[in-house]
Amino acid sequence: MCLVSRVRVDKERLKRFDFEKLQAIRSKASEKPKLRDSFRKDFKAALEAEGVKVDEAFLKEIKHEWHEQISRDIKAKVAASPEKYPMLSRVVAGKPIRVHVTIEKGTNKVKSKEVK
Amino acid sequence: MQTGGYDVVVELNEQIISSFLKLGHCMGKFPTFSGSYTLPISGVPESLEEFMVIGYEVSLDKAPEFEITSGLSLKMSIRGQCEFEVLGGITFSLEVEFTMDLVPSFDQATQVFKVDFVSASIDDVELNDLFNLPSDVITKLNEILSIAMGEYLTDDVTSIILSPILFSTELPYMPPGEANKLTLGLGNVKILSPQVMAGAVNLLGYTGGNINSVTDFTDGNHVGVGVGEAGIHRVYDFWWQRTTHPKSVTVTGSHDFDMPSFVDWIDEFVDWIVAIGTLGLVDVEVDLMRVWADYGATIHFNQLDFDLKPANTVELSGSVTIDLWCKVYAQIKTTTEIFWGLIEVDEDISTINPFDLSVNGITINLENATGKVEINTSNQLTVDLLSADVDIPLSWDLPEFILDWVVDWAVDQVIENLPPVVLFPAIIEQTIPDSTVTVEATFNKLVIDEPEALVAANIETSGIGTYAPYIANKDPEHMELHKRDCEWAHRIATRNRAYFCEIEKALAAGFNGCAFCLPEYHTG
Repeated sequence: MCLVSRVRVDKERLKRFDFEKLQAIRSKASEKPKLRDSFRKDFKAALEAEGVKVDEAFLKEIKHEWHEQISRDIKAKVAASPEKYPMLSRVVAGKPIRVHVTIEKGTNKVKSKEVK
Repeated sequence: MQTGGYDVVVELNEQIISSFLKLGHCMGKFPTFSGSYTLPISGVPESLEEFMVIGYEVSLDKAPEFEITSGLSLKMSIRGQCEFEVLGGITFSLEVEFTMDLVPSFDQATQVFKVDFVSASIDDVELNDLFNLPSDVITKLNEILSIAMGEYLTDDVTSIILSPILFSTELPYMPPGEANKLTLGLGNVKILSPQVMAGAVNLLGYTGGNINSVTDFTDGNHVGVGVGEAGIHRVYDFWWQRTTHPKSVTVTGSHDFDMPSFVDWIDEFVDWIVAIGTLGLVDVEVDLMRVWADYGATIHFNQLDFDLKPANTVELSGSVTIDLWCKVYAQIKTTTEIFWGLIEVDEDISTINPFDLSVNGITINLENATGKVEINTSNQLTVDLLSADVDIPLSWDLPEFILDWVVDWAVDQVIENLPPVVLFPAIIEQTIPDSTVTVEATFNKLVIDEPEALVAANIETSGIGTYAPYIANKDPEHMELHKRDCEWAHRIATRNRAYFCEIEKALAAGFNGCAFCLPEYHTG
């Protein structure tokens, strides 16, 4: 079963994930068509051939940049429609998430929840 | 405060005292007493000495009757059969009535009301006209009976239990041992009215209270137990320090997200997955196969604060400390192979981990929490939590659909695993120790009146079958009443047996005496 089929990702949209090292690699890839083929065949080896050492530090930097962008994406979405995202609105504002619960008598089972 | 500032006040109605005296009588707690008295006459020849001895045996036909007098003292009336043996073998029987003066006490070791016998006097001796006894003989016999009763009261039966165990000293979820039971300090006992008497005790070293401020809160029920709020807090503090109930729990969960739940985030989500997977350096078409989250938490519970309010409500507040983690995964199928170290490749299916978040030691506050005080099925006073505001200081940047799910789950786990708020141990123990008699309490009153909780209940007992002197066959085709040791009694099927402590009650219920063991009550 597939949740979403055949989504072609627009590379222009992904440019917002660029950072300095990545921009350099992207420039080289756009200049050298063979480099794109190399990426398809052996991505890590191709990067290293271009002088990008794929080590823990590189991976850590990549992860950091991704999550920074993901955070920016999330904040932008919340800012556009805060009423749709009550929990995230609280998180973005630096406030604790407040959930009002009612509990089924004698059971400790939550009967209803409401984000306040 | 109706509890007079004591931690616990127990009150007992005269009716239940009489019921327990009947129960005690049925269980054989008033044994036949017998002895002999030697007339203090000197110079009696040896051959005549045996004639100086008067033997006596007193048995109780009926249960004693208890009374709180209008002068607020306690008395018990006993009607018994007294058999004397004189002159080496002549016996005659008298019916006698005694009145005993009693002093009430509350036994802190056993948590029962009892009375200690102080003195006894003979009220009436029925003359047996057949013997035409002279009045001075009757007087001497009275003296003998008084001496005998005095010895019986001091040696054989010095006190009688009047109530079931009114509250336990054992709390739930506690380690074994006396050190983990509530310690009681005796306060005082007071007769409040001709219907009710009260005993007050304090817990865990507290010494306050004024017995003259204690008032009747039984509302006509058999027993009442009142607990002061300060005592309740002492009990909860004591319980929290020692309980074996888990104060932390580790739970995990997993959830697959279906398409409708994140349709609002699909564009961003695919961007993130592809960016992580390819850095955007490779053209790719993606099938998003599955999105799921694994999450877990270790929750550390802290003791709650509570405040009793009117209408049996309780306001609570407190916090839990939580270590929380969450990993989000997406499984994608790509038309381009990707192998650069951060993702797994399984043929053309990859699992991306866009979120791997954890936070330790955050404090989740429970605010505006309310509950109701209830008596649970074990007769313990507990709090049913009914609502609360749960504040979670979480700074995770996650799409709302994932954040919502994880927060919902975490809130459920906090509430479901909250340790109980134990206010007081079992009120009115359900068995009478060293017996088969069980006690069932019907609670007709539970009132929280801010500084105290007042409970009142009526009591029924069952399981008297082991002791009852009379067994009846309630099969409509038989309806016979037997003495316990009658061989016909043992032939009654268990399902048809009815037990009676008093023969009058059995006869009033329509049973006919057995021709063999109760011929005087057999009507054919």
